[in-house]
Amino acid sequence: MDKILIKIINTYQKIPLKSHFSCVFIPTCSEYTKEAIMKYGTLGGLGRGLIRICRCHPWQKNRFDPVK
Amino acid sequence: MSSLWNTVFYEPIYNILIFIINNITFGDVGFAIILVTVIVKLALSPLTKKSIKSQILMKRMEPEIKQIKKDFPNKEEQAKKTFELYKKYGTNPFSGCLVVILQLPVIFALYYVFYKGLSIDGSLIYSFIQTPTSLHTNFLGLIEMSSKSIFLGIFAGVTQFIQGYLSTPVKTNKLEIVKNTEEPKTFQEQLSDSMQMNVRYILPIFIAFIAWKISAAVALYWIVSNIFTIAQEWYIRRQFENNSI
Repeated sequence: MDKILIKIINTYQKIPLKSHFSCVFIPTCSEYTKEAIMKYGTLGGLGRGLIRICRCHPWQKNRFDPVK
Repeated sequence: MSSLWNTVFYEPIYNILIFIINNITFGDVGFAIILVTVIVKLALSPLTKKSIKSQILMKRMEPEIKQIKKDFPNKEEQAKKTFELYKKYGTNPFSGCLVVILQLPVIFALYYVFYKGLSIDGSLIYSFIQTPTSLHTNFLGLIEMSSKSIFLGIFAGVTQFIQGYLSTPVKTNKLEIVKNTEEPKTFQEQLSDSMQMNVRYILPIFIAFIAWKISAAVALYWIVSNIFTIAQEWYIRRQFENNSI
């Protein structure tokens, strides 16, 4: 399951989309979710990714925010 | 959940389509599809504008970002330097991933209106909007909207390719982790890597195929949507160049 999800994220990152230029963080939300899935498994990773996306809004300052 | 989506997103767009068929295009479905797509895309354009701006900026910054990656192996420092670069080029040009995700239900609803076909469903039409009496589904007198059109399908693929080509993704931030955990790759991994490399070429073909197979209406929607994005990008790029140089 983890492997499939990571593959989906990898493919998403390859598709030319405007959304790739929206993220205010480093690493980007998709990258963050990928790392989180590797570290915390499917549910833990997806949950952390979702919370990260909710924090990624126009009033958020650019910052370095790695998976902890 | 799905009924909420219907009420908030699907039905309004459906009713706009019917209203336009009634009052503006006088029964012509093809032109109504074009108009509805442009209206929805225009409504979302303030949100996509920022992404396009940062896309242009990122392209300009690319060599400097590469240099930072080389000079600072530490991730945190890399990020700090990158943000300093963002500041130099224009403060915080990013709108955030949440904004992107919030647009998705609208985009899906728009697509679904055309996907469901062009039959009139009276139960969905608001009381203050007339039920159309006559429909011309023959676009320009050439293409039947409710059937499949290989011509429109291919055109959808071509516009998708141009759109993707113009917005070349920047190869930074991404793939870094994969590189760090270097292990000999299995054949399967190599295969999936090369598949991903070709997404840019595979995607338009895929879209052309789907657009052809579903219906001419969906294909037309895709074409208009792609051309809109290309035009939007061109417009913002021009605005940008006039202002900053």
